[in-house]
Amino acid sequence: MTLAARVPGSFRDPSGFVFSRQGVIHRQIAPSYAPQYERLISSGLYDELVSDELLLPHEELNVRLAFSDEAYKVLRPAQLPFISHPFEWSFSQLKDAALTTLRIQRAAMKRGMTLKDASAYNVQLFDARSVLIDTLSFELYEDGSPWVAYRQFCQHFLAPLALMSRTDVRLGQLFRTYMDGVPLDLASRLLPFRTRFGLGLGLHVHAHAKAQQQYSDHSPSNKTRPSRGMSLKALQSLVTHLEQTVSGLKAPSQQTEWADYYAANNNYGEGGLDAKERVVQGLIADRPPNTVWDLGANDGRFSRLARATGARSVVAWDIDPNCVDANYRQVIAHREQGHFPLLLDLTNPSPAMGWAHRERMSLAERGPVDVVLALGLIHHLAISNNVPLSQVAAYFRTLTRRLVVEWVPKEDSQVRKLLATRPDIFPDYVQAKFEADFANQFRILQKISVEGTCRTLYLMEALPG
Amino acid sequence: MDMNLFVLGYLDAGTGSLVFQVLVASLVSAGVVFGGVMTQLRSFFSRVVLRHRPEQSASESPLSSDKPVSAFHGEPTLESASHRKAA
Repeated sequence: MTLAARVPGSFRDPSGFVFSRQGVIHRQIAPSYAPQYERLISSGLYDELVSDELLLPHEELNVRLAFSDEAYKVLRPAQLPFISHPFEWSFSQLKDAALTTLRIQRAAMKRGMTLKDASAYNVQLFDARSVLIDTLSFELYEDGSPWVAYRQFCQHFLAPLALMSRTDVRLGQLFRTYMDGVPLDLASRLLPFRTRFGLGLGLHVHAHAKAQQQYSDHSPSNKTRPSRGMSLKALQSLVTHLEQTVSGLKAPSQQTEWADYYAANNNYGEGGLDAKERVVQGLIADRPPNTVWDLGANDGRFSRLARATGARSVVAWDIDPNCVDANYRQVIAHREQGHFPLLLDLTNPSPAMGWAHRERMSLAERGPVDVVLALGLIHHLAISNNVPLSQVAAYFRTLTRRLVVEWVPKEDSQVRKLLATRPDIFPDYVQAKFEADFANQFRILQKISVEGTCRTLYLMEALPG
Repeated sequence: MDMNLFVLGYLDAGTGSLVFQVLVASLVSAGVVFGGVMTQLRSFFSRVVLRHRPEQSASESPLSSDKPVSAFHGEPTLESASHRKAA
């Protein structure tokens, strides 16, 4: 019996769709897309993009493996260990994805093709590189045609990058509200006034937004159409100018709360941190996990430890955009495969989004994983955010099969800091209550005190059912 | 620009964006052409200026291109000596 299901988020493009069979992702190509696919392969564009690590490779399968009758081809793309959303990316990751999209467009134009869309959701981190995952994004280039994905590129990449770079790095979260990218008129209003005078943002965001408003109630009639087409050379110049504009945007240099935690601001001496590493390694090494989520990963120190134990994919989640960006740059610089630094506010985790809440998966829908690491996290949830320990335990159980969690008592300097500016309304925040609440959701397998600190590490296993 | 000729795909490309894109692309291309012309003009005039530069005075003898010169105290470098040997 072959269990196959269409991926709910794959319905917009009539050229094909994605389906899953026994957990393996496949792509079915519609007969109407045959000329474009043939050109992609025969022009050498596919080989070039795959060898340049810009496009996710695939293999062609027997068409009898199609999900439905109307199939021209069935592809099995290289399987991604994890799908992330653009609002979970740091500045550098979004910038790399933008430059990847433009490099692909440049290569496509040289071989008589063009990108028909430029969605940030079509780019994912794979083998420590940003790659296009949608093989059906290519269209035949028609002489004189403009780039139909220009607007989408500006909304999905240029506007959020500009806002993060020039206004505030947290504005990357606008993607959560505007799934098809940040509206250019909004970006234009939020950007500093001086950006109007730059050739890059002045044109592609501010003037572009004005042009959209100007033509908002015009259908593409003969009056609104320019009299001439757009030469290939002009199109190439446009892409070059977009590349220059994106490259010129620098990562914001805002100081954030957690950026120097392990370097200067932590609760451990070097000995305490080493002891914690040894304990964590011991707890997960007995049954090396395949998939790990490190919640509150900071610079990814413990994510790397988990990866070193043999985990195939480790997602290093953190709330601090600067931590995530620094971690991402390290992953790219050292080509750390299977390591995904991403942004997450655990008190408001990524929701299911899009049409019928089924286009983009929530955090929990992308789990459960083999192991969740929740190190130095509990006190932030329970004390800073008033989440009862019983609810923390219940939510963690939806995310993982095994849990490595650190108990941080009130005597700890970090907790004392949290309680310094507010009354202690947490009489239940004691270790016995923590153990009792977690025992309702997990079986406690091990409990080890961390040498040189007042903290305790636990290994737990989710209760069945 | 006849939009009926284009394969617009499944995306709404936006009328304003399409029209604006053509204008920007023309502007940017013109910028590229202008930049190229400016570079050529600059290199032409720099050649003209060099040609008409006044002769050096006899007291300032030009450096011999054969003489190896180091950035450090004017001593010949090992590298330049070895290049000369190889030559």
